[in-house]
Parts: sequence; structure tokens; C-alpha cells
Amino acid sequence: MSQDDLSSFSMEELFRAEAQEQCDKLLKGILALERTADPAVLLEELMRAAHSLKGAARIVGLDPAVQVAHVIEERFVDAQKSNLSPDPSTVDILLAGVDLLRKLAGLSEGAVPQEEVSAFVEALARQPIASMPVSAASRVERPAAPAGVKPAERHDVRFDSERLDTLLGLAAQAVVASNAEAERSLSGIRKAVWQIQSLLADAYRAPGDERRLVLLRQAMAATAQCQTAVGDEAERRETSVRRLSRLCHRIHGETLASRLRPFGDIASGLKRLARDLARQLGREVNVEITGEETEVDRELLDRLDGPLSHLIRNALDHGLEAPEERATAGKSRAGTLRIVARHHAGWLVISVSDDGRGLDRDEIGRAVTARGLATREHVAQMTDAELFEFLLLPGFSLRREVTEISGRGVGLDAVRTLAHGAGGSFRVTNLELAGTLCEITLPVSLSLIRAMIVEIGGEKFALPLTRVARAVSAAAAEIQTAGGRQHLPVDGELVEILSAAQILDLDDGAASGDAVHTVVLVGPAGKIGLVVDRFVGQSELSLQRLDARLGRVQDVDSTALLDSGEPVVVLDVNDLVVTATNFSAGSRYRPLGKQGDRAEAAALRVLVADDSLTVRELERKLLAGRGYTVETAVDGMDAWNALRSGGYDLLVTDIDMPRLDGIELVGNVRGDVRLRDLPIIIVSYKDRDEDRTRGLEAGADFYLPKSSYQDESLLRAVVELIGEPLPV
Amino acid sequence: MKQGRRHISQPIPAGQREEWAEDIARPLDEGRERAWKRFFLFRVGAEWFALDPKMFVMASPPASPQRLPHRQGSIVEGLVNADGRVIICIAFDRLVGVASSSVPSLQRRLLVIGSPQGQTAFHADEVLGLESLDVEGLAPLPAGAPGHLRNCALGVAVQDGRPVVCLDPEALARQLAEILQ
Repeated sequence: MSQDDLSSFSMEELFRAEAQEQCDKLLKGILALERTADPAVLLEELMRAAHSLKGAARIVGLDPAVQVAHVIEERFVDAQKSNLSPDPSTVDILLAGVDLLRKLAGLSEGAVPQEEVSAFVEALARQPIASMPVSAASRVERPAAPAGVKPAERHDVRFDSERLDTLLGLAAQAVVASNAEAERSLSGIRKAVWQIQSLLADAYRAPGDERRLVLLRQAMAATAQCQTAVGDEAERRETSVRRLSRLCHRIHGETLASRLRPFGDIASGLKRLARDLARQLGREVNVEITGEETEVDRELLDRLDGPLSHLIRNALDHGLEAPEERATAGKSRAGTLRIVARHHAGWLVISVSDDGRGLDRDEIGRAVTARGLATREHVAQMTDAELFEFLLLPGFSLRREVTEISGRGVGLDAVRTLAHGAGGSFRVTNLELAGTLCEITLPVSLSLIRAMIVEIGGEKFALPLTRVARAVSAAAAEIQTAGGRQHLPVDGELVEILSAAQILDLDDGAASGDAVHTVVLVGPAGKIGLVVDRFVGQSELSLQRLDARLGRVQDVDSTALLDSGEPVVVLDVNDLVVTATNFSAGSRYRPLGKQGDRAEAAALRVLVADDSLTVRELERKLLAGRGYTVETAVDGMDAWNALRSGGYDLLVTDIDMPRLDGIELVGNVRGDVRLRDLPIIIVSYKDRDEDRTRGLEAGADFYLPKSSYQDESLLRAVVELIGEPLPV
Repeated sequence: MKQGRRHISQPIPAGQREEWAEDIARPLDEGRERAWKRFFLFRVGAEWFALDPKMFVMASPPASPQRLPHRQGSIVEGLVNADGRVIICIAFDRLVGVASSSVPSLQRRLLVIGSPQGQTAFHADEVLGLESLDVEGLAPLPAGAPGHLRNCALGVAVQDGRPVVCLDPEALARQLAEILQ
């Protein structure tokens, strides 16, 4: 039997991997102990897990972990000897022990002082041996598996995610190469051989001596053989290329699938959470998890843990009633919490439901009116779905008091943010009989998207299809101008259109010819149309992260390879809508088709950054009036992006700005190899000495108060730094 | 053919076996062995560079990088496909501050180099491959060499009569990371 090659891992890494595995086994087993009538087998497995962990910890010299694992193991040994299962309070301590082991092994955050280890050891020692007798059923021997038949076992192998990405890249490249190979054929050679043969036939028909005719006949026979060989070779090649292509596609598909993990991987954690919370809140609950085998994107699974925990908290705190209340209402004392994961119509659907009291329409309505979010009359007219939407607003909570468990009003909002961020949706509704249903719908894979491919400034870009509202091709004559901005009628509505190339700081992407190809995106302030060079088509893309060294690149979500092997940038639609809106409001705006003229290119360019429209305009007019070419940015981040696109001779900036303040902006400029020599003037209301020192220390050349407009000191500083504007 | 056979079968001159045995038995001049190191040589513009082979990942035909938004005029030329991975392609001449070549080169290749921070591609005008250089005899860079080059160079070696700038892999990776941010 072959072993996985683990030689590249350090002992600590191997220990962490083993600790993770054994802690998972312990958690799963301890939770199952409470529910099983037959703990003997479980206790044996648990004892083994604790023992293995103890041995591994000893090898790496992690004595506190040895101590904790030892007392846990001892407790399982005692339980086995006495044939008794631990009671719930002992289970609590054992679970705390697993948490402690995870911390000690460096699997979760936080340092562990020795006192905590000692406290745990003492707490476990204080617990009585056990309370629940093992039922008679446990003593019944399980039917043994037929000799020689081993149950099929899923064997997980640890894999470096970086290596998996490399493998995926290579698999994708193999698909591209095999496709290219399939396109090449031997038809050129076949044609050439056929031509030789027909030339030889012509030569044979021409008069000539006997010897030449014999030679020609031989040549024709040889060519005919050659033709047959080429035909056979073409057929063999076609079969082989088809097979190669199929194999490459399968390798790619399997590599992609290895990014998926079963939902069951987080199920134990969720069960544990529900159990602990139920005990804390005095609820009785049966947790049912369905679809543990449902495959979920590895990255998505990590992200789901938090939101699902929120939903469980909500269900136990708001949804399920206390046992007495349930009994009075004629329900069973123990409520049921169902967590279901399934694939439906190409989406992953995860629901958390309870059989509790359900959502109270009146209570939500009162909370909505009390917060002034809608009038009482309006609330009365709303459907349940509309009213329940308010529960998803940031900070909206029905709890009057914030408890440790819920009531801060962040839970449902966080779930919705996750779902929307991943291109999915989230809804909350009442179940028909009793209880609440929370349903998250997500794409099956975060790393695979269907995208629309467009060309902008001569380059191909991808937009996630789920985020494109419409794609319209119209005649340039249909463009209408309103308020100095261009619009296009789309489905009876005027949508503002902007050049995607200008927004993305690429070469001019003005609509060419008569056609205007527009992608309509939906943003918080309404629809916005981006004019692209052309629509290329649709494609399924396997996403790759952009190199982390580039930091956050505005408007870029990720990258991918097209079927042709060409790289493509996947645009971030949320970002793009904000950039487009800022662009429309800023002075860099140019109508479609207008190119910057040569004089403009030669002029001295100044960038003015201020979040106040008034100040921005005042400075712009002042400098433009003197003959400089002035462009504006609405905040520090907008300015930083503009500066990085290059070509400015001076930056005039405010200090207090959202997203990136002036001091940080100046710091960024001075730290950038290409921009570090750019002259900078800070113009601020803050005119105390310490503010001035801070600005100059950050690297500004001048620090002027905002009153400097009146006495022309701003203009003097500009001339001093970059000289008089060039004559046009 | 006959000449070749005659050459192979001619008797070995007297004393040559002893001379060879002595030569092979002589201890290695360890100091001199250490001074020679293999480098990967390439040219950008008029300058030859030597790179630690550990940093070299692959060479492939030149590619046209897919440009990134808001990065016009920066050192980043765009993205390229390197064996299925989308990686950044930079202008090496701008990274080290040397003049680029204005003459299109038939030997132009896309080189991919790797550091713990990630892989990076750039176009070299010519690639010579692995060559041994005397690293102990490195000369300092000329006083007028650009600061960026000075920051990531170990010194200048001579290979086949031409000066070659030996690059410091850590310093090069650091400079790249700083400039990309």
C-alpha cells in the first residue's frame, strides 16, 4: 500500500493535521454519545482518538496537550469499565477539553496558559464517573461484517491548496492544448499528395519514352500508398486526439471537483453549537441534518460556518419555545431544528428551519413603524415576504435586550451579505404548519462562474452573467443627451451610458462606427450602461485569484483563462458601479467618441482631490482659469486610482476624506516608486501647527489653509512647484 | 572513416596514463570550485543579466499580456498564461531601471521567475540559458548605474568577454513586491 508523501511537511505541520483529525473524531463521537443507546463502540473509538492525540503531542513535546488528552482518555476508559455513558454536564466538560486541545495544537486562535489546562484537569476530575447506565442494547453483539468484506471507506488525503491550484491550471492548459491539437488536421498533407498524384498522371499521359513511363507508373503507385497511409494516419490521429481531449476534460473536471467538500464537514460543529446553545437557553432540541454528503465549494464551506451559526442562534433564541410553553401549546417538549443541504437546479440550497412559534407579522410591523421605516398603513398593505425583508436590514432586531446569544441584529444581515456577495440570495419565511424557514441559495462553486465576455479597449473582460441586467446593441443615433450626460433608451427607460474603457483607464473605447454595444448593470442608485467595443460571447470560467502582491485592484474581482488559453480579467460589478457613478460625477468624464486633443495632452495636469463638491469645483475653476488642465477625484481612493493611471504633474488634496484620507494618500504617493517625486499641495481647514507638521512630515510640499484661494497663495504654490501652464 | 579509426586505435604516448592518473588523483581546488556558480543568463535591452537558477521557472514564446484596469503606464504590463496559471507580466527594464530595446528581437522569450511571494513573467530579448560565472570575482556596478538596479544586483561578472549583472534573488523579489504594491 502506498503512503502519501509527507516528507515535505514539518513535524509541527503533521501534528496539526493529526490533531485536526482526532479532534474532529472526538467532537463527533462525544456528541453522538449523548444520543446513542450503545456507547461501547463509541467509547472505544473515542479512547483511541484521545490516545493517538496524546502520543502525537508527546512526540512534538507539547506537554499541556499530553496532559489534557490523557485525562480525556482516562475518562473514556472509566466509562468503558463501568459500562456507563457520561452525563450532559460531563459532556460539556469533555467538549471544552476538545476546544482546549484545538487551541493547544494551534488549530484555533488564542494562547493557552497552564492555569487553564490545570483548571480543566481539575474540573474533569471533580465530575462523577458517569450517570447514565448503558442500555441492554449495548451489550448485544453487533453482527460482524462477512469475512473478507471491507466496507468502502472514503480516504482523505491532505493537499496543499497552492499545489491544487497549480494542478488545476495545468489541467486547464491540457484542455486548451488538446483542443488546439484537435483543430490541426492532416488535410494539408492529403491535399498535397493528391496534387502530386494528379501531376504524375498528367506527366504519364504526355508522350515520352518507355523508361520514363515505367518510372512514372512506379511513382504513382508509391503516391497512392502514401495517400492511403495518410488517410489511415488521419483516422488514427483523430481517434487518439478525441481520446486525449476527453481525458484532459475529465482530469480538469476531477481537479475542479476536488475543490468540493461534503457539507457534513461542518455538520458536527453545527450540532455542537445547537446543543450548547439549547442547554444555555433551557431549550430541548433535536437537531436533524440532511444532505451531509452534498458537495460544497471548499471556500464557500468555510464562509458558511458563521452565517449558519447565526441562523441556529436565531432559531433557538427567537424561534423555538421553552419546553413548558411547547407542552402548553400541545407540542412535544423538544423542538426540532432541521438543517438541509441540497443541490437544486444548479444551485446549492441550504435551509435552517424550526417548528417553533414562527415569525410574528404584527411584532415585525410594530418594530418597522417604531423605527420609522414605514407607516402603519404601508405596513398593513405589505405581503409577508415584503415585511420579512425588513428582518434582513443591518441592525434590525426584534429583541429588546441584547443577549450573549442574539439580539444585536447582525445575524440575518450578515447571512444576506454572504449570499449576495457570492451571487446568491437569502429569504426568511414562515412554514405552513409551524415554525420559520431560512433559506440560502448559492452557486455550487465559487470558483466556477458563467460569464459574459466583452471587449473593452481592445482587451477581453468577463462579467458574471448573474450581474448583467441586459446587453443591448443600438444605433449611435439613439443616444440622447440629458443634463450633459448621454443616455440610451432600454426597455422604455433612459439609462445613462458611459465608456467602459474610460472608466477602467484603458485606451479609448469609444463606440466605433454606428453601433453602441451596452452592458446594463444594476447598482444601488439605479441602472447604469457601460459601452463596450463588442460582445464576444458567454463562457464558463474557472476563477483564479489575482496576485496578492498587487493588493486590491479597483474594479477587478479575479482572473480566469478562456477556452483559447487567453487570460481574462473578471470585473467586480459592485466596484464597477461605484467607479462608474464617481466617474460620471467627476471631471474626467468625456462623452462617447470625444478624444482628448493634443493640446490637452501637452498641458500641465493637476489632480484635485476633495470630498466636498464645492471645494472641488472652486479649486478646479481657479486652476483651470490659470490655464492648467484640472481633473478631480471625489475621495482619497478615487485620487489614488487616478494617480496610478499616470500622467499628472501635481496633486492638490484635502485631508479629511472617506475611504482614504489625505495623509494616507500622500504616504501612498511617497511610497510609490513611480509617483514619489510628484509635487503635492495639501489644502485643509485644519490649520493648527500640529496638523501642518503632520501633513509636511507625510511628504507634502506645501500645506495651505482653505483660505488660500482668496490671497492667491494656492496659485503661487502651484507655479512654484510646476511652473506656469504651457501656452496652448 | 578510416582516418577516424586510425586516430582511435593509435597507441597512447608513453607516460600519458600516469599523467592522467596523477591529474585525477589531485585534490580538488575547493576554493576555486566554490567561486564558480551556475546562473541563468538573459538579455533585456543592451544589458545581460544573470539569475539564480532556483528562481527560474520556465521560458516560453512571447505573449501579449492582457492589460489590467487602472494600471496604464505602470510596471505591470498585464496578465499572461503560464502553464494554466494566470500570472503578472511586468516590464523588466522598468523594474531595474535600464533602457529597453527598440529593435524587435527574434530571440524574444517570455521568462517566468518565482519567489515565495509568487510567480512573475517578463519578456527577455534573448536567453542564453545556464552558464557558469565566477562569483568571487564580481566587480561593483559602475557609479552611474540606476538605483533600482543597484538595489537588486550582487555585482558584475564577465562571461565570454561581456559584462553580466548578477541579480540578488531576495533583493529582486523584495523590489518587485514593493513596486507592485
